[in-house]
Order: sequence, then structure tokens, then C-alpha cells
Amino acid sequence: MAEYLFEQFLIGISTGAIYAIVAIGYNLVFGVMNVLNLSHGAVMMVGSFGVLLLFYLGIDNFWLAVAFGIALALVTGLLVERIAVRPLKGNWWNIKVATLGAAMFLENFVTRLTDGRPMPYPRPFKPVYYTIVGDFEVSNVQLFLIACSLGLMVAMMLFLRHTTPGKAIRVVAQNPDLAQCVGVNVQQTMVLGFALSAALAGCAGILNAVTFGSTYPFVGQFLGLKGLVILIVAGIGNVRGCLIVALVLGVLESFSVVAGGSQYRDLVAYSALVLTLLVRPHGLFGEEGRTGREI
Amino acid sequence: MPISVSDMQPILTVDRIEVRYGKVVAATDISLVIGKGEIVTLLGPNGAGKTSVLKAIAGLVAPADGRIAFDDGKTVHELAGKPGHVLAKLGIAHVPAQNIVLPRMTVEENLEVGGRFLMSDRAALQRSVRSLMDRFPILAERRTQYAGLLSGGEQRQLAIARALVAKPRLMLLDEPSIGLAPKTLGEIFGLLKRINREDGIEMLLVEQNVVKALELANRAYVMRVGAMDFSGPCEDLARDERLANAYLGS
Ligand SMILES: Nc1ncnc2c1ncn2[C@@H]1O[C@H](COP(=O)(O)OP(=O)(O)OP(=O)(O)O)[C@@H](O)[C@H]1O
Ligand SMILES: [Mg+2]
Repeated sequence: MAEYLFEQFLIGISTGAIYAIVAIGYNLVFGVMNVLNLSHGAVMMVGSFGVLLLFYLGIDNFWLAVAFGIALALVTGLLVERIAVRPLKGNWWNIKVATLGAAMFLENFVTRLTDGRPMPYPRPFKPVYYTIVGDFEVSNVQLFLIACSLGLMVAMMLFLRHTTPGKAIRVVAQNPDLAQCVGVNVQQTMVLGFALSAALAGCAGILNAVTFGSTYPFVGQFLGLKGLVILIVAGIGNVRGCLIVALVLGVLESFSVVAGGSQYRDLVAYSALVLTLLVRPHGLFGEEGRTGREI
Repeated sequence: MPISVSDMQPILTVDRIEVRYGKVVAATDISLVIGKGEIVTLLGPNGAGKTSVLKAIAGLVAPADGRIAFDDGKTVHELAGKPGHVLAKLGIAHVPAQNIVLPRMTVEENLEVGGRFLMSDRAALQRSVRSLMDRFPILAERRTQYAGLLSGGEQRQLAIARALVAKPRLMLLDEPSIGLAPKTLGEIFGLLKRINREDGIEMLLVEQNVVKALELANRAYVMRVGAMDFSGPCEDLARDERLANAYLGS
């Protein structure tokens, strides 16, 4: 039993880390542009299918395919910014509708191309299982996925904290007018935030598909919604908060599956959302008056 | 009203600009000049359009009409319509009236941000930050504190210091006296005078504290709602009874 719980714990950490990447993607766009990008989930899906596309084209190299998938997600994200966000000049409601439209287009477009069936997904390398104690095993793929997700998160935080473009993103998030006054090109920084967010979405889509061994055109809806829940529970604008809440939620979900079966998974996530908002309307790590204009 | 600027070397020439937000006209037919070495103040009642004029000069709103020329000593740049970050690179430092610090960054980080995007020499940036902390001892004391937690007066000092990090040519200050206790106010205005004299930085100062502004500045402009009403040396303004009664509260 202990082994089984530990296995579930690892699965929880692994899905939680993916949720965190999703939530931080929302956060980046929310931070620099103060808009909610509802195409985020669809861009993840595009990333995961980008990998399959390269295999379909006959190039049989997993790492090349991953790079292509991330690049495809990035380009898709930039197109969404150009077509569905920038022309609407910050109008909050219009952008929500337009990005939702972009998501529907992408999902249905991919459904047309693939018949909408779940597609089996390649593995980075042949899984090898290590026995830790008794019946408890971990695979190298599992450890690799966790290392990738957590590594991405740490890299993202270091980037925002210490590099010049990272600082530009944080300055724009806190005050776009002041950003201009200290010499930050706000337009460029917004595009950078969008691009990073889309690239992270691509990574999350691919990591998720490798974890479950498959992907399908509407996979982004479930992942995107989880990311949003985390964003709200953590408090909009808080990167570290997102990571903590995502990991806790991943583990909680995993244990609730043990306790009651897979139908309890989402019940836990959304109960957590409702309870948090009842107790702390600004999220666990949020502050009153913060709207996401801050990272 | 025409002013004699023939004996003056203007570093900034604002020529009949209009600032509007959509259909709202905030200021129209505004002309002003800032000569070499000058501190100029722009006064007027609430809603006259002072902040809008300052924003137009800083590139935060594009003027709907007119031209703005800035002489950095080598070339004359046309500013109207250029975005704010480009003007910042030309040496125009704007300290707005509200939301003047980056609240989720420390005092030191705020100062560093003042030069990070404008200076390529990282060592010179560090030197500049350090020398400003010597000039503003309270900032050195609060170095590691989040700027959002500073008092209003401390935030004002931080914002002014941040504007100085990259050694600007021209400073635009929007109501720097807001929230300052008389003692701090005296200190800050004394410091502005010194910066003007020692570093040779010209200043355009929007103020509600008319007495202090006229003390500090060489010349004054007064706006009525949306337009210019007076320009001239500060002594003349203080003597002008009509204006004194209308805007300055005796
Ligand atoms: N972003 C904006 N959108 C629409 N109208 C604006 C905007 N900013 C200012 N205005 C309007 O422009 C006019 C001038 O405003 P401005 O802030 O320039 O005045 P001000 O002289 O700085 O006033 P105060 O002394 O109160 O700061 C006002 O009528 C104001 O309502
Ligand atoms: Mg004003």
C-alpha cells in the first residue's frame, strides 16, 4: 500500500508540474497585456500535434520533433496575438471572445486533419523501470518528465528575475507607462511575453502527451481549465504561488483517485477553487487590488 | 502670447501642440520653450491639461497636432509621435504624478531598472546606482525593501533618483511635491536645484505648490483649461494680479 501511495504521489507531482507550466503561461500574457488568452489550451494541443506531424512527414527523431512542436506552438501563439489580440487594443471582453474563437478554430481544424481520434504518442527513450523498495517502481521516463517540468519552471523564474528581457516583462507587468519612461519597448515586450507563453504551452502539451502516451484535438480544454483554476487559486500574477498550488493540486487529485476513483479528480480541483475563493477572494498568494498587472 | 526667445538656446521647443483622448481635447495650441540650463514651471488649475502636455512631451500620448523639437546638443530631434521608450533613450526622463515606483521590486531593483534599458555599460550602471544612494540616504537605508511599501515621500525620492540613473538631458516632473512634508519638500526642491546647477539638467516642472515652484523655477507658464494663458519670468507672474487671483489663490 505504501508503495502504491508513493507511486500516486509521483504521478501527482508529475501532472502538477505540467499544470504549473500551463498556469505560468496564462500568467505571462495576463501580466504583460492584462488580458486572458483563452486560446492557451489549444496552443498546447498544437504543440503536441506538431511532434506527430514531423513523424508523419517521415522524420524519425524524437528531439527534432519536440523542437518542431514547440516552434509550431510558438508561431501559432504569435499568430493569435497578431490576429485576435493586438487589433482589439486591450478590450478585455472582445479579446476573450476572439481568443476563444481562435481555440475553436484550431481544435476543429486539427479534428478535420486527424478524424479526432486519440493518437498514440512516441516516447523519448525506451522506458527502464527501477525498483526502489518492494513493489514500488519508477521509470526513467517518469523521472525525466518531472525533471523537465521542474527545470522549465526554475529556468522561467530565473529568466524573469535576472535577465534584461525578463526584467522588461516584469516592469511592463507592473506599470506599462513607467516601463516606457525607463526605456522599455512595451509593444516588443508584450510580443515576447506572448511568445514565451506559447512556447511554454507547446512544452506543456508535449509533456502531457508523453505522460499519458496519447493526445487528441480537445486535450487543451481540460489542461487549459486546470491551468486557469490554479491561476485563480494561487492569485493572479504570482509565479511562485502557481508552482506551489499546481504541485499540491496534482498530488491531491492523484490521491483522490486512489480514495474514490477517477471521477473524483475534477471534483477535488473545483472544490479547492470554490473553497479558496470563499476564504480568500484574491487567491492564496494574491493581494487585494492586484489584477495580474504584476508578475 | 509671444515670448522673446531670441537670446535663449532652446533645448526643447513645443510648438502649438494639441493633446486629445479620442474626442476629448485636453489641451490645445500649447507652445513653450525650455532654454539651456533652465528650470521652467507649468502651472494652472485642476484639469487644465498640464499632465497631458507633459505626457505628450514624454511620448506617452501622441499629440494630435503641432511639433515638439528636442536639441540634445548634437542634433535636433522631432519628438511628436515617437513612443516613450525612444524618447527615454534620447535623454528625456519623465517622473509622473502617480504610480511612480515599481511596487513588486526592491528599492535597489527600482534604481537599477532606471538604467538597465538605457545604459549598455553595466559597471557604469552600478556606479550610478551607488552614487544616487549616497545622494538619497533614505534609499540606501531601504535598499532591500519592496518599493510598494515605502511611504509616499520615500517613493517620490525613489522616482526622482530612478530618473537620474541614466543621466538624462531633460527632466519632466509632474507635481513632485505631492505628499511631501514641508521639511522633505524643502530638501527635495533643494536637491532639484542642485541637480540643475551641478549636472546641468534642464527641468519642466508641473506644480500645484505655486510658491515653491516659483521659487525654484526661472520662468513660468500658466494654463487655463485647455490652453495657455501666461508665460514669462516668475517675478512677473507673482506681480500679475489677475492671474494671481484666478489661479494662484492670491
Ligand atoms: N486618459 C484620458 N482619457 C480621457 N480624458 C482624459 C484622460 N486624461 C486626462 N483627460 C482629460 O483631459 C483634461 C486634462 O487633464 P490633465 O490630467 O492633463 O489635467 P491637469 O492639468 O494635469 O490636472 P490636475 O492638476 O488635476 O492634475 C481633463 O479634462 C481630463 O478629464
Ligand atoms: Mg495633472
